[in-house]
Amino acid sequence: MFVKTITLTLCLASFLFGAGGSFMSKNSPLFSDASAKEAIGELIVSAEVKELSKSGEYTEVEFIGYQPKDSAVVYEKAGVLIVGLEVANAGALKVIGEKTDEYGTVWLNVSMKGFVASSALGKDKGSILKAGKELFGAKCGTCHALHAESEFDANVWPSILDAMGEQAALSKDEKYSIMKYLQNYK
Amino acid sequence: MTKKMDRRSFLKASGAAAGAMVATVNAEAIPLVGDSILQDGVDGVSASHFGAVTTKVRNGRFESVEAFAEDRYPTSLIQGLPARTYAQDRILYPCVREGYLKNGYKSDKSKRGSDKYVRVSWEKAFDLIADELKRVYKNYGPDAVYGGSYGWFCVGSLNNPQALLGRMLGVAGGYTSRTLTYSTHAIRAITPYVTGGDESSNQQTAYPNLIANSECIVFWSSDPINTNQIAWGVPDHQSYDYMKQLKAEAKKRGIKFYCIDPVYNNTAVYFGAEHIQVRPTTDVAMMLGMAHYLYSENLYAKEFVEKYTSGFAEFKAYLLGDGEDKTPKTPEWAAKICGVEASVIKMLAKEFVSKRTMLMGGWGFQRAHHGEQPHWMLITLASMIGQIGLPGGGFGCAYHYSDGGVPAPAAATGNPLSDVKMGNGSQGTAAGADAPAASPGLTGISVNSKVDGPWKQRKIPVIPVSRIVECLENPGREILFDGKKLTYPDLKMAYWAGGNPFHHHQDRNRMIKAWQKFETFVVNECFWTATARMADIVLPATTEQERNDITKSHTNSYIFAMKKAVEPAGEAMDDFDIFVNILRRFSAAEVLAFTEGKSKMEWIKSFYEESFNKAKKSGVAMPLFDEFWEKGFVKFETPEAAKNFIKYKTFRDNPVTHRLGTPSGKIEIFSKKIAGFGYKECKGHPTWFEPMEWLGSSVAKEFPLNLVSPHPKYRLHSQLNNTWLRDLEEVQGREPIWMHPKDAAKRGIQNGDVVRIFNKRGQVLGGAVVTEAVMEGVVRMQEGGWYDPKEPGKIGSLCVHGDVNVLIADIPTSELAQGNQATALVEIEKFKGELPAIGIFKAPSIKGA
Repeated sequence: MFVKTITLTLCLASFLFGAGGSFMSKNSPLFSDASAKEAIGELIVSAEVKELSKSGEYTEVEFIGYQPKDSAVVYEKAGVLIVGLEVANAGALKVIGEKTDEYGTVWLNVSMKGFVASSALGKDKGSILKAGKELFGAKCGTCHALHAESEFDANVWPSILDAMGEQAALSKDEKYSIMKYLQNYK
Repeated sequence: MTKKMDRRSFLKASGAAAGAMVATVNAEAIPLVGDSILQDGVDGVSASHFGAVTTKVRNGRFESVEAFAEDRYPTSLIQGLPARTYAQDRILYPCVREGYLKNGYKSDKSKRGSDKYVRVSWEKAFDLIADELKRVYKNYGPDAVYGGSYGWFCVGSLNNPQALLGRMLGVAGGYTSRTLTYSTHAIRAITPYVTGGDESSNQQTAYPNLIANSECIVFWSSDPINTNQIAWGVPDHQSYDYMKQLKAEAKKRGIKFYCIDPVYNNTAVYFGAEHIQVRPTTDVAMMLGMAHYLYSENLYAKEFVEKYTSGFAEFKAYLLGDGEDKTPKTPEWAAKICGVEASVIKMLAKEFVSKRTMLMGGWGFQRAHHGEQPHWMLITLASMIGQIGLPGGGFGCAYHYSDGGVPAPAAATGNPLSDVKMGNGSQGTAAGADAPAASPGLTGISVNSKVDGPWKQRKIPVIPVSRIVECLENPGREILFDGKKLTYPDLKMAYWAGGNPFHHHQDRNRMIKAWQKFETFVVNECFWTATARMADIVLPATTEQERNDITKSHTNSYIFAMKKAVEPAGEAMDDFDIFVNILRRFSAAEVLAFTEGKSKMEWIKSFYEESFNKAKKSGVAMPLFDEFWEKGFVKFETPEAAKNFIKYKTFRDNPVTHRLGTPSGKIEIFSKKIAGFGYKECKGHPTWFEPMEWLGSSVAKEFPLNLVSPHPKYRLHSQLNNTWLRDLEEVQGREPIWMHPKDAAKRGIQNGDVVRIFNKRGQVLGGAVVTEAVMEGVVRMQEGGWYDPKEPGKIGSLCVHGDVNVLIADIPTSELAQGNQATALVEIEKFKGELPAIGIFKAPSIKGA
């Protein structure tokens, strides 16, 4: 009976483990397998993933999000431009559902599995976003006054950062880190 | 026997010690032959909002400039740099208002502007400021200190007064800051709801693409030929090259230009545009008339509207008169309001759909009551024309600003591998594979320190920048703002560095009264501006040419060294050092947080190094710092790909994968969000609202002339008014005001007369320029002329020089943007009596000078 309890506890633990709640601590390539030879996409900082298994220094994860038809970009939620995953091949996403918003736009609920470096995963979304906050202050308040986080909403920050990113020569990593902080700000 | 002077003793006598005794900027003893003429200082490099320059130093003075050799169209404004360095109104030492020195925060605030000043030591000034900050923090909390410090200050990555002030206050205890700008208050608030972005700052279709494809270009409330003289970064004036090319091409291909504006502006003159005289603040009505015509004649781009926009049905009901107001917005309806004939409205609508048309929307018409509407309606009109995303077509709202539309170097972001485009994700553009045509940009000092401390947890609340007076008048009031609610803080103290609110804010008399709420007002300034003259504590700051710094051109084509050319005038100090000294009165921890242990030159080098490293990783070559500092600049190339950028092309090609950042993913002609706010002055779709005062209102009975206040030609807002450049335009020492011959004749006013311009808010003098360049019923006076009250400090006093913001109302655009206005109704009469002398452009009365 003692053994059964332990087994049950372990199963419970791995169920909780598999229930998600892991976050990308930085932009990372998503590989088709643990040999990390073929990148099938890139997971974006602060995106939530479900850890499925481990293989050496890589973790198999699943990302679930929303994709406008044919888009190579998958968003964390339907209707808001919060990027979770960029894929090399839009057709490689597994469609698990569909949702039509009040404007008639069809969002495909999609899933993608793959391997990421385990070092790119974290459990505390808050501290991941905090790095973006630092970068926001460092990069975005030097040429002009630092804007309030609430000045634009989550849907608008991407286009602001596109324009300003050119001015400030933000790298992709920097831009996403700042963007995710601003988009998640409450 | 008199001791004979020799060179050595002369230099000794005329050195710093002697200078301190005769501390006026002009009277410091200047070396004669020997250390001056024929032994000129080394030519240096510096930069400004007017352009990069070579600084010429003689006699220990920054005597003149030459334009940077690669400046594509040097402006006369750079001549203002040496001129203002030694202007008579240069602030030379710290001063405290007499009443404030006696009674501190309990002083009689109504004496601001009239009180004498007392010269104090730097130590005394720092003590006063630090003590006051501590007192206010202790008794009222950090929100009570206003550090918004809005303005255009100077260029330079290190000595950015606004960032440094925020950095200092953030570390010292906190402050209230501001959001939005006096330039873009409304457009920046509204366009995110319409296109999911900020149309005042996103990229324009590149000039080469316009030159090759546009058939019709419309300057709507826009004057790029004038306003591109200056830039937020350093202008390299490449836009002028393109405008010349555009003009040449226009001749060949017959490109048609329109200027829709109450004034035939510089750009209209240059391109020979057809002038469509529209009454100020009625452009929305005119556009509605055009839209109605396009719809009823079935000329509008039906497929574009269906595929790329949302909410046309709701808007259509309003347009056709099926809505609440039961008024069809016909060209005839529009003509009565805007003053443009119905036949012309129809002609323009037909013209814009039949030709490949670029609508260049400026920012003048959004600086008005209901300023949210013009750009919303412009984008709606552009949608009905249907050319958004096509070569040479659509709209752009920043061609007039800082070389907008100029193809620029790509972003060298330091990691080309991850920057390859995938899908429509936002990432840095990789430099060209063979010859990286990219720039790493240039960073600067941040408003946030990297050092850990209690300041990291501080939240900095903001108010809409143009609501400062309303905030002073109504502490604790809750206002509606951009879909949210905001409570005005109870401000007790303000610190301004590098800005001139007693120029850029409206309703000067109301402002002077409201400002009395501040118990303490501290100003860092180089010159005795109207703002400095209202301060309790005035600290002399150095100019750009009196210190080292580093900066870049706005287009990113150059990084410039800014080498100290001369010693500061009087006791002027860098803002950086001023703030360090204030923080010394707190503790070493605060000082360290501010400086991060770096000297000023180390900061400058660190900015360059960051760019250098990024560039290197992207394969872009940059010289090492010492070589760069010696040469004075680094140049970056522009990739061919940038020359064909078309705004919204990717959206047009696939609006699903490249959806906009709006709830529908499309251009929102109707916004459910805004409709949901339930605002009175901003509805769910572009709407014609009658402005509080306009030519069609009852106010026009008493004040029948509509004043417009565009950006000046020989200034950057108020900067450079204290130099000889004002002589190029002033009339009898006053800011010129353009009047139509009929309006002038009615009032017995002739070209060159001094006139009094007035309404219920105040009165100013100006110099009449009678011209048909301005339409009948409209008068034009540039903003930025320095406020010069006949009775300083007295509310309601006549401004004898021409500060146009005495006349403009401080009533917000609407609940959405809470923005500022720039037009007003006025009456004008010939000034009678003895002409008052100009009182500004020299220092006020100072004790202990």
